[in-house]
Amino acid sequence: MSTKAVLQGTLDLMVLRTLESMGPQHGFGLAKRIQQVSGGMLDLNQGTLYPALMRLEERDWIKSSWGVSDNNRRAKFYELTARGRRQIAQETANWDRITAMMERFLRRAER
Amino acid sequence: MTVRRLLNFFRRRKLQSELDAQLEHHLALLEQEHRQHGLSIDEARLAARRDFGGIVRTKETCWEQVGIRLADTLWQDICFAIRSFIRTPRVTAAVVLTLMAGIGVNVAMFSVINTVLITPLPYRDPDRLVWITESSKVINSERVLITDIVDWQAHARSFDTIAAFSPEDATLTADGESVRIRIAWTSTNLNGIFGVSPAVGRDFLPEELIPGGRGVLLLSDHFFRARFRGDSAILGKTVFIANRPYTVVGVLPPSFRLPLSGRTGIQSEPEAILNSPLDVSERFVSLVLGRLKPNVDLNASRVELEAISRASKKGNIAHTDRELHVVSLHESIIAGSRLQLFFLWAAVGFVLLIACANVTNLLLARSAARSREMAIRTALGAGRVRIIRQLLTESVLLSFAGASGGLLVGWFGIHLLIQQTAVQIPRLKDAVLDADVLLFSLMVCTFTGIVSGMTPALRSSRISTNDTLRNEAKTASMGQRGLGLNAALVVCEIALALMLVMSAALMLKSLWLMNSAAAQFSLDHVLSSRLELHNPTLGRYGEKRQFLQSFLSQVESVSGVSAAATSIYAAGGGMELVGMPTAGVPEDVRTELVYVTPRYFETTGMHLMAGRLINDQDDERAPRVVLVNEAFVRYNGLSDNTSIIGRELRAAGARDRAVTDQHRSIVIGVVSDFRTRPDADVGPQTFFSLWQNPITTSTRLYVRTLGAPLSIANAISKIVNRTPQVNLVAIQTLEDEMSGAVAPRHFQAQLLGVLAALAILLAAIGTHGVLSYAVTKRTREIGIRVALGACTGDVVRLILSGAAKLVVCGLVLGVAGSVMIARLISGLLYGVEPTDPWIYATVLCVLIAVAFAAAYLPARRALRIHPVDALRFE
Repeated sequence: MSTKAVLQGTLDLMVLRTLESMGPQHGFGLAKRIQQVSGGMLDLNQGTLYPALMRLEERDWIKSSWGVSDNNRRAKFYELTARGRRQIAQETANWDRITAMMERFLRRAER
Repeated sequence: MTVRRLLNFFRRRKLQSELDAQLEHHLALLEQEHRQHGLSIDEARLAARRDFGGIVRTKETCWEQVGIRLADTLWQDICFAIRSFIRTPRVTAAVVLTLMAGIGVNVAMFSVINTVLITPLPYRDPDRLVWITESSKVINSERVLITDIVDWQAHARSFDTIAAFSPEDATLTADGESVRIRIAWTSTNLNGIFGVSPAVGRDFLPEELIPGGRGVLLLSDHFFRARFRGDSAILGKTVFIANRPYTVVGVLPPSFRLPLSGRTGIQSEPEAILNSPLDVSERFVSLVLGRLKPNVDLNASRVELEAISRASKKGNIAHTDRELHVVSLHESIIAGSRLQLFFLWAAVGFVLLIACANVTNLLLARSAARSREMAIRTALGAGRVRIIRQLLTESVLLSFAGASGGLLVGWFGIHLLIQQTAVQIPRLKDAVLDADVLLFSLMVCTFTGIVSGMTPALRSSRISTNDTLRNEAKTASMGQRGLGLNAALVVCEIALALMLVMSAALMLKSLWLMNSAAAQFSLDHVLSSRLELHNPTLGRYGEKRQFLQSFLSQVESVSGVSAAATSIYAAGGGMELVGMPTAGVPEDVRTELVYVTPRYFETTGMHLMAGRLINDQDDERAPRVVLVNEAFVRYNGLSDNTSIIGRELRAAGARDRAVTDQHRSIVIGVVSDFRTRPDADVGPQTFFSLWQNPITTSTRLYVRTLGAPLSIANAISKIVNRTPQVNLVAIQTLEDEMSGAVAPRHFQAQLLGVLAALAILLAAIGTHGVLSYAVTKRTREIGIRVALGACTGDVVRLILSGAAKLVVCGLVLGVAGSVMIARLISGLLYGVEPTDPWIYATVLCVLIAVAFAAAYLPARRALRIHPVDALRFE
């Protein structure tokens, strides 16, 4: 899957979901984890993660604080906010709806 | 969101360093990972970069997310714009000055409109204040019966308060010094009607508002400061108004305004408000104000008042023809000024449009000169939106500079307007530069910035990069085509300017006609003044008549006086000729009724056209007689002056009632038309003998003099001072009286003249600018033509014919617009047809001359083009 094919909302949801399952993370950790979960299918420039983080923070879905990473460096850690959690629930429902709908289209086309 | 973004802009340094640290951290971890896979330091760094993607691009995308980029580029644009203004000072100055003029006049006019038409009156709940008046089909006047007011006060449930006001000019004497002031008598206290309390001192007390209460007065803040230097020691002191004592009890708040029309129809603020309990014996009062109860509408209150009057006045003749009006006070105050103000506002709006067109043209020329710069920017990767934004920033900045200058001009303009004593626009003196005006000028300047900047910006952004950079724009053969938009703008400018000049010319001609109409009579040798007969010892009119006769003969005995007369002006009413065919005659011709002493005609300079004049034998024992003017003859459809003599004239309203002798008069003569107001046509007038009619307390004295009239005024004043029964008010020549009435129109015409001159100037600059731009663009073409043998005449014809097309189009549009405008303003004109051919011809000639002058300079420059230089030009 190329970067272009990743919809903006998709990356946002991936970030939120990853933060939900793993707790506070810095940028590098998030990038690694997303790549890992996608099973190498998602090959995106890791830089694209940062605009997404800024955007999410701007919308109060995540918040950040400075901390110390595993290798003793200063790093910015991101974590979910309550609004972010609500957003995940909403977006997940959206996704389910869309995939269910697409499913029906695609199956019907097959027949 | 916006606030946060704004905050982001201010903490962008911090945000930037934080982002840098994060990215650095991320890269370091990536690098470390690659090192663990066995890459060398350099290889690991490269691999990390590859994984991460473009760092600068990432940062920029981040900034876009939090809105820093927008603010950043705006700042850049502003700095760049200012630098480019400094590089082109002449164009910048031209734009800013044009905008200053355009915005300045609009700011001043808006301030006036806002104060006069929009701001509520400075009273408590001003919406509830109404003006109550009765008009009549028979008597053409607006006044109210005092008995009605008494009934209303007793029974009306729609009103909290009903108060009578009588504005008047009077003499105030304090510490032995006298001044002429406008006063207003009122039957109620201020708080009751206006909901306003005096700033100093107290309001009228209840016992001062019943008959027999002592005289008290309130001073206006302005008069208190001007006459008594703001010294509150005057409180409790006694001053004399028309020789009667009044105690000063308070001073009105500075913001209090009460614009009232006096007897002459001129609106002005009273300098003092006096208590005056309602006195039924005076019959009429000229002004009644009411304060409605909350949520009562005008119509309901009118219906109630009408019902009350009808119930109590059954069968009273004086009442049957009367019609009641209840109008909002604000409405009644501004009604007379609205058309005038909107007209002036439209005029300044035109000036602003012309200014916008001019600025657009200047910016277009400027952007054409910068087409290379834009091409390079595009080549370097600037998007279209980015370029439009930069150019719009420039034009909005320019208009902000223009607006700041415009505010200065506007502030100055407001002061000039306020100092015009001739202007009788109510509340004009309150006009200020306030927050509303600032907001308005902000709106105007954003509007001009976007309107005048949009087209040049759109056009620049569409430039073909390749052609411009290769220097192959088809300038040589472009001709007039590339000028389409500029040309259209010039056409509009010329059309707008023509409309403004045309309306100014119509106004000026009205004014000139008025002045020359007034000059027909030798009014500079006639003194006019009010003569008050106020001594109660004067009894019935036999005595009054003897007194007046002896007073007039005393005045006539003064050396240098050739005749003296008094008159009583009794408004107007319908008059009909008995036994005349009524076909084609307006049913209800309103006629002015004037009661005069015999020498009135000689004094004012009216000529006898047929029949005889009134003489001393026409007294109460003789049959009632009347003289009519020529207008009266015309209005009744008669062509011959003599045919009306001997006919019977009676009041139109008397037709269905018992006709008493009081209503019947015999026409004994016809006199020439005499203009009492210079700005109105002479209507039908009838002159009755004063000796056959009741003599009221307020009359007018006219004195015709042989020499300088004002020296004789002193002699007359002496006679008056010797005679305790009379009081002379406001003595002046008839000429001055007339010019007083013309003054507001004079001012209006002047103002319009200035605006028209400004419009012509701006349009000339615009035309000149576009034509010089055309000459610059066509330098190569002209060079080739000259090289091929074109002579001087050909080149000049080339340029002038281009100009002529624009001018003709503009003039045709302008004339069409002028005809429409002239119809709209015909109410402001006097004696001029809206389509006066002479005015149209003159104005067209002036504009053609100006346009020619504007075109001549560029044409001369085209003549100096040398073919060799021209071909080397690009």
